[in-house]
Amino acid sequence: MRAAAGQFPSLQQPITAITPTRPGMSWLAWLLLTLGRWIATLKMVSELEFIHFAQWQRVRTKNLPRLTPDQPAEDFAYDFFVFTTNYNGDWDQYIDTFARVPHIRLGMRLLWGTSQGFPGPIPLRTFKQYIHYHSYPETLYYSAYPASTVRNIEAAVAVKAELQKFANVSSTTKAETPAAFRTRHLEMLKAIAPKLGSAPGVHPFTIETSEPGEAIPVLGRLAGGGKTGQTLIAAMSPIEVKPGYEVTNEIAARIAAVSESTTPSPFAKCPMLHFARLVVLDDLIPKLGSSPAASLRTNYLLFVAAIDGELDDFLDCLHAADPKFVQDVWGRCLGYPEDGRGPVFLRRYIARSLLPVQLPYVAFPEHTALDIRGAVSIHADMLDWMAADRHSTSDAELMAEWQSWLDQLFDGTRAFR
Amino acid sequence: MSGCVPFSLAKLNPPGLRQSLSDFFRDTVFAALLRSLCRVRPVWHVPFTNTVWVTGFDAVQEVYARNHDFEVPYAQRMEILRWQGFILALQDTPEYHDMHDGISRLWQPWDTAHVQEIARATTESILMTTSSEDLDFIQGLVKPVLMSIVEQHYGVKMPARQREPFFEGNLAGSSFVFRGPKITKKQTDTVTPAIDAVWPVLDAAMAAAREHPDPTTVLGRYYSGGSPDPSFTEAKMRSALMTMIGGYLPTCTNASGRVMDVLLARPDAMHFVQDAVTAKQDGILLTGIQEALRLNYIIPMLWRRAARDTYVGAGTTKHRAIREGTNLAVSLQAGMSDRRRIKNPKRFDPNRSSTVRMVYGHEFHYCIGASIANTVLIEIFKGVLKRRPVHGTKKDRWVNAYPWNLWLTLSEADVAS
Repeated sequence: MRAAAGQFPSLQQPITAITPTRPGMSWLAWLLLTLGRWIATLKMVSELEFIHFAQWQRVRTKNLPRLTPDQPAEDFAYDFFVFTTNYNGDWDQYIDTFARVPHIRLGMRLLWGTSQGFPGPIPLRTFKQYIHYHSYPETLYYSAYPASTVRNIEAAVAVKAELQKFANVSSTTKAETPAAFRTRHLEMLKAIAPKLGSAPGVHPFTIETSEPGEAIPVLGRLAGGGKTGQTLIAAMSPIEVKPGYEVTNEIAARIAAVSESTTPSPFAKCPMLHFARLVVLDDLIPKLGSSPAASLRTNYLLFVAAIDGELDDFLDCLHAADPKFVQDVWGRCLGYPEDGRGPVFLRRYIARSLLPVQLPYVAFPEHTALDIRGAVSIHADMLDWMAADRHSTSDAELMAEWQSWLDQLFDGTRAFR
Repeated sequence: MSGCVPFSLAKLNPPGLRQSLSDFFRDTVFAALLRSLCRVRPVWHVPFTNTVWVTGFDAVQEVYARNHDFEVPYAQRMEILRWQGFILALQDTPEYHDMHDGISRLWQPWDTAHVQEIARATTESILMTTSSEDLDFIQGLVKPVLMSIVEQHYGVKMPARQREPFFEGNLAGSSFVFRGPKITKKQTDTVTPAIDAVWPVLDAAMAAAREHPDPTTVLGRYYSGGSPDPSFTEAKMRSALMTMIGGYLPTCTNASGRVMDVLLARPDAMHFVQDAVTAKQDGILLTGIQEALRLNYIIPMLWRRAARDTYVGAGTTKHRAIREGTNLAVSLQAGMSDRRRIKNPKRFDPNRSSTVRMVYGHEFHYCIGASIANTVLIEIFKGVLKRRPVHGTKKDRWVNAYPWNLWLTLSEADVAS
């Protein structure tokens, strides 16, 4: 099964590409990623304005999690280069950018140059074929703000900051006259107007299938008040030893059921989560055109997520959100304690399944998921404010209306509707 | 009631050197010992004994979650108390689920509105009529409010002369239940008259409700359909009533005192909860209360017994063998200050993840009356905090582990208004 672009009800689509490294070049991949983490600012990626999240990892085959003694060691002769990302727009355009923007093309050549069969970014046809061939379908993809593109969020964050500045001046200016307020209000509207063009519609967090306006219960709070930066995680949990497929299929079906459901997924109840994906890996694809020299001896579940704060807080929250989902998915994987019902077992299990994250990128590292949802909500609501005709409203009425509107606008619970 | 002299826990434990030494040992020496063990040996087999101390966060959660391997060992104590069917003393059996369902049917979630109304009215009537100087927070406010719930919501009314022995009998009973595995003659001699002051009150209340059921109370609801629910016999109801009183009066008294102790000692905590009260944010106030309780928990350790040969550390590579019959002293107090899981555990941080606060237990045997306790605590603290409490001039007193007299001086002004 190949990845299909646009398969999730979201303006963002994920890519999970895993390529085999060239024999003897695994160390170079590791070195490039390690150096990249310290040196590269990934400014070019940021300037593209359509990538929310990306991470590059070199995974050693011999270090794949082996969580029970009867799980056989993998015997691939080479390691793997794992690239996970999500982007707005079209898959072809995304890959085109990799090839056409010179700095990025150089970066791609360096990073994927250590992978077997990499044809180089040019010609595009073979490059796309290569990425497509090595992409794996995600069984579940979750985004905390699926209806927002990177540019939406940039604009939303700027609008929110402008409104906050405006509100702060209002609260510190004593005895502002209604006339002065109207002038200042007009200036503020002029400042934010160019940024409202990309505002989402009336339901900024829902696309097609979800119930609009449905309140999602939020569990847990944000560690450190949500000010501790984002954490990217990648965990690879062994599901079952081949030739077994029964558990793998059941887990895949369980995840797919959550993915396809119109009710909020357990991930939606975790306020610290930006993105998550689950990929069932039943094998790793060898170099294009070669006959498989080896096959994975165990099926794995790859879990990739970007969260605010501590991983343990997120896992506790996920467990509290839907303990049965956790039990049905990770609880059935190899090495999960039997009858391990409780968040402690999930924390321990994921800790043992973690892969090292080497070169991470997030578009909004300074903003929590809740911040972004709040900003997106405000962004959408400001369109309504702008749309109302207030030419005949007196200055005093405008001032009063605005104050009431502002209270609604900054109501924190709106971020979870 | 047996004997002529009413039972009094306070008189049995007069203030003096013995009580002071006991306070010092419990609050300073023992607490420091638990913290140290948590850091260096989270699962410690006490040499030459059949006892293991469990103090690490993960290990504590594991023992609580694996309730089939680590059973509650209170059966013998229940016999002494003539109390069959105490839910916290039951294993995961049909009897447990029967009792759990019965209690859930009678103490329904929407009862919290009634509980809130009673707690608020009682708190306000006490605070309106109390002099602002030297309010005894425990005896003058917490105790009457908690008892008002027992009388007006549960429907256990009693003559004034029976209130003190009933209240103190419950406290003594609770202390007895949660002591270590060894039952001494002194413990039995103390608790027998204590519990003799409790059962007759419950029996009289049930008899009165049978005759004249008041449907606004839980007991009245039980009898209001004519004959009681055959699936939940009167014997079970008697036990359920004792559960909901014996598990509520002592713990809420203890918790209230300890929370107030933390608030008075930490200006940042006091500011936080007062701000929550001013903003009329009950949920945030509750977060502050629970964070304070995490810092000063009601009981240093609870007990479990290994039902079979097993180990602690499921899901990790480090297993600590536990023999069948081993007593486990499990410390939620130490667990909630484990640096491996909780950053800066000594800091009052209401923004930390709520999942690190196990103030109502964890997984199986999670407090069945948590919603009632939360509601009452919110109302008590809301009432007091509005009046800006500071330490009173009189000396505080503890009786065993219970805060007994906690003197406050209140401000005349209602700051929230």
